Amino acid sequence: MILATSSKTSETIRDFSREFDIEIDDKDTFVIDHFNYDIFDEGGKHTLVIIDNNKGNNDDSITNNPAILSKEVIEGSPILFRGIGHKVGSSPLLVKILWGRNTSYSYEVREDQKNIVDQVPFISGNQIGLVTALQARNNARITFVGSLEFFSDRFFDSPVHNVVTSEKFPKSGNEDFAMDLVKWTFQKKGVIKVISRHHNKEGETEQLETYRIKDNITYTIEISEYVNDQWQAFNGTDVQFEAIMLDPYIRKTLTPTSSPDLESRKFITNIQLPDVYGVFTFRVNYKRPGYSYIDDKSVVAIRPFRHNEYPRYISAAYPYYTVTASMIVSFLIFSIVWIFNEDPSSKNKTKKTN
Amino acid sequence: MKVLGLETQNISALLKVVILGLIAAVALASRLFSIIRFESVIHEFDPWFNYRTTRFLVANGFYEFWNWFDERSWYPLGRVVGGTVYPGLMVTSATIYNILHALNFTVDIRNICVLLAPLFSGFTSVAAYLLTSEIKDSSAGLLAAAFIGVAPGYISRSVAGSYDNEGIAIFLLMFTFYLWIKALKEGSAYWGALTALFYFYMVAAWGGYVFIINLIPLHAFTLILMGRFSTRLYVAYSSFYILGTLMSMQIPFVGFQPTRTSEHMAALGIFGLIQIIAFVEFARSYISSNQAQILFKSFVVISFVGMLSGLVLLTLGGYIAPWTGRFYSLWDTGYAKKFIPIIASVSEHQPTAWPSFFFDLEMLIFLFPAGIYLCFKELHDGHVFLILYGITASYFAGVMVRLMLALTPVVCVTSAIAISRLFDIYLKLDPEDSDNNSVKSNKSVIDKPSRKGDSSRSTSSPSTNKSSEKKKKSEHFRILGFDTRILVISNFFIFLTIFIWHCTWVTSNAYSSPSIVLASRQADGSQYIIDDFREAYYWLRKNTDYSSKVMSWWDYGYQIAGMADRTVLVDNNTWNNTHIATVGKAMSSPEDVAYKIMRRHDVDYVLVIFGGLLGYSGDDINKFLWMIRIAEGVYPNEVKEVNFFTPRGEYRVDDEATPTMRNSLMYKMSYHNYNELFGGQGQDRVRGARLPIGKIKLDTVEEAYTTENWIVRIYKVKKLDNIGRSLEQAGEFESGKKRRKRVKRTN
Repeated sequence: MILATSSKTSETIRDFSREFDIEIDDKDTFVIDHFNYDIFDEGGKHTLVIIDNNKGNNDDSITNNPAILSKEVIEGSPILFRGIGHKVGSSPLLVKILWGRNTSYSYEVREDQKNIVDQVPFISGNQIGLVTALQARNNARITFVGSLEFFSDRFFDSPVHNVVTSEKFPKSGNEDFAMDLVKWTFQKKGVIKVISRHHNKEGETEQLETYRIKDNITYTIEISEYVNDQWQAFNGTDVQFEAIMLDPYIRKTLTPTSSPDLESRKFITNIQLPDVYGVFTFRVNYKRPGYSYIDDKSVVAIRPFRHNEYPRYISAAYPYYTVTASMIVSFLIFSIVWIFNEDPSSKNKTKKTN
Repeated sequence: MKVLGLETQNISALLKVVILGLIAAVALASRLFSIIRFESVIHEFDPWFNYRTTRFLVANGFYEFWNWFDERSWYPLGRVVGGTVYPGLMVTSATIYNILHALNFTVDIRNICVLLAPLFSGFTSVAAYLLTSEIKDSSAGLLAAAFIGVAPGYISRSVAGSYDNEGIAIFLLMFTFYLWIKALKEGSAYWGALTALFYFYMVAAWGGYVFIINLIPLHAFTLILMGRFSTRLYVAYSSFYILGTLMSMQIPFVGFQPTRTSEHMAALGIFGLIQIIAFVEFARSYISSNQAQILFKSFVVISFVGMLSGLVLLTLGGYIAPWTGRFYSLWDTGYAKKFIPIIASVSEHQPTAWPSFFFDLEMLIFLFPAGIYLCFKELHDGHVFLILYGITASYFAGVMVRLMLALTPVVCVTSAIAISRLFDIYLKLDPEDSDNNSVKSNKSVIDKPSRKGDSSRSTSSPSTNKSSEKKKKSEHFRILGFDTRILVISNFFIFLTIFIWHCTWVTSNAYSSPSIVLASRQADGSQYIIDDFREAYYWLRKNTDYSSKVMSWWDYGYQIAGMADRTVLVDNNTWNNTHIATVGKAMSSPEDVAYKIMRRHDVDYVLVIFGGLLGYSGDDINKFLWMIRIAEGVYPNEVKEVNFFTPRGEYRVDDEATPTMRNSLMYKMSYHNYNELFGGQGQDRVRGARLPIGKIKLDTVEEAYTTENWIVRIYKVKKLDNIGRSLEQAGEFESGKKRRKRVKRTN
């Protein structure tokens, strides 16, 4: 869902977005930037602000997340924006996509009012969220855009001319940005899914529900990504595997394999299970901003050794074996001698030790 | 003399068999109340685990059972069942099951489990007969058999459906003791080995085997101190100890304990001592100078002291595990409460209240000292054993309610000795008295052991002394008049009748409730069955995912695993105190803390027992203090018992309940929606309190099911909020409240 608002937004929309930890600024406020405004700015209020492309420094105010925006947008033309800003909360599910430049602030703009700022703005600088997305835990996506004009043809086709720095671009980046944003929001981009997962003992292929402690096992997970309207192999390299029982016992980065079929890629690791028995969860918890979440769990039990899986003869115990064996033999000999060597005089003795 | 063409001897033998058979039948029958009243179900808590493991054993075979790692309890730790269980009970029922099936009797395993304890109580009365006949004579034996068959102290643990270790263990206890006395009397390695064999069975069946392995050495030690060391004692004890210890070490749960823990050290020490004494005796038979005697004696004493100090040193050095907490709590009844609340929290580990002695043993408790006194009068080996057993068991029974079970057999045996002695005296020359036909056989039986005693190689031959003494006694009392006899006999006849009545009444009223089904009487006298537990468990079984994890207090762990077949976090095994404390912490913490714990343990459902509506006092709010205490023991900074008491030190649930109490998850879950049921202010019938007005808000869990009488309430743990709000905020949004707005700017 894309929620585009303007400075005239109603309270209901504010309440609604507040549930997503997004606080839209008051009515009639605009994002103002006296250092980065377009030449077409009307009324001298400097509300038509320019967001530069990503230059890779602290002053950037556009995300460089390739899952959401394509490279052309990130490095392309600046973006024009006129509208209301919002404060982005601390929810970990929120992704800032476009935000205010350090020189900008959000303040009330009225026709009858002079440009006097006599109160501290609610939000200013890079705190101002312009375009922010939230990916819910079930991977539903909602994008908040603080401007309706942002998507207008006028903004799409408009050239950009920064009044202060005199930088000029023939066409704004709005159209490409909007295309990517819509694609991402409606699950055409940045979508990954688990095709299958498999774990087995090394050298075997069968997936078991119970392993033994210290077993060597192989864990495989197959992930594909939706790119350009088709499923392709996922290219991430930071997929991690965890074996958890209350706390992670093993955490290991999975190795991507070269994918024979192009639709998915297998990530493999070989691990030795811990020397602790219990019910373990094999989990791949892959949550990266922009990508849909992967939280794949399979529960296995890790059991202790069976009674016949211990080493049968321990070298350290050989003295004991010898003692036992010699004891048995000598007892047998003693019994035989005792039984067959009875003489009349030993009758009393037998009684005693009977 | 001939009756019906049979010799009196034969008739008395026949009668004995018939009477014993009838006693066994009565013992079995009087335990069937619960089946008749309710149905053939497994009772209580622990039996459900035993039942579950037995089913597993029957289904998967012995080796699978031996190596069973149960991943459906103690989530996520799991439990190595094969190594932490006394397998005797399960193996016994599985063997019976397999034999019956081999004979094409397709009996359900449940029925075998339900009826196993009554069956073994029949065997117990036979074992009691054997033991008592070995110590006194067969008429006392029959009385002892009759007593143990119906004594409520034993019935409490062995009614049909109470499928627990104790059910077979008491039989094994009695039989092991019988064999021990026999071995001691005969001085034969054969009987000693048999003792060891049954001791092994006992080890396999019940943790109470520690009682045997301490009592028998104590007996041997006392005999040595009394100067009664003999080769018979040497042979019996040595063969018993060596074989018994070796065999007991085959049980994985016991393992190396016999050589490494303090509980078993007494037996080992006596074994060493007896070797030394035997050697000394042997040497002394060749040397007879006085100095040498002193030398030998001092050698024995020095080696005894040496062994004792060696034991202390090894314990300090950590080679031998010191006494476990459970045993400390036997010496100091306050110990468990201070250091191991989990043991103290179990009601059957509480010290016994004195009325329960009378309740469980009735007139036997009066006869018990009389019997002990009679034992003191003729101190032969068997009597010494009875005295020691009686003294230790009565101490333990005073310390812990559940050990009443160990006391009951010795009380039955000694009272039987007392009564039979009384009858010996008052009925002896009264052949026309038809009341007690067993006594008729008395004469012949009394002679038997005495003859045996003569032929045995013992020098002391206590039996001969005994019978001659007895003859003297009866000679002495023969002048008693007929009226006195009638008076005394009829008196005791009435006592015995009342005893039987009492036993039957107690059995039927107090001990035959399965506790998973409650019964109450309605105003018109008809029975009303409260079946909330099973209702809830079947709801879980039918309506939740197979892999769901259920959190509840540990009392219900076995039942949930057995009846609902769902994974539980903690159960009655209580092997991991920390895990239980974590559950206690979750229950006693505010919702947000509890929610984190529940998420971490993947809990799907929470089950609480609430008796407020019905007045069922065994509910979780009443157990709550123990949860808090156990949690405090592990998390002293996060859970504090003090915060749950009002400033005046009261434990309350009404208006004056402390905020900590009212915010705890347990309180909220128990009383959630309870006020609404009353349409205003809820009335808690257990604690006789009116609840605070107002709705109890639960955000992190939602009510999933509440049974008919509100005894069991099941809550589902909510998932994390989809859009990242805290569940409290989400709950407020659901209830129509908006999030607080920031203050508007003013112009």
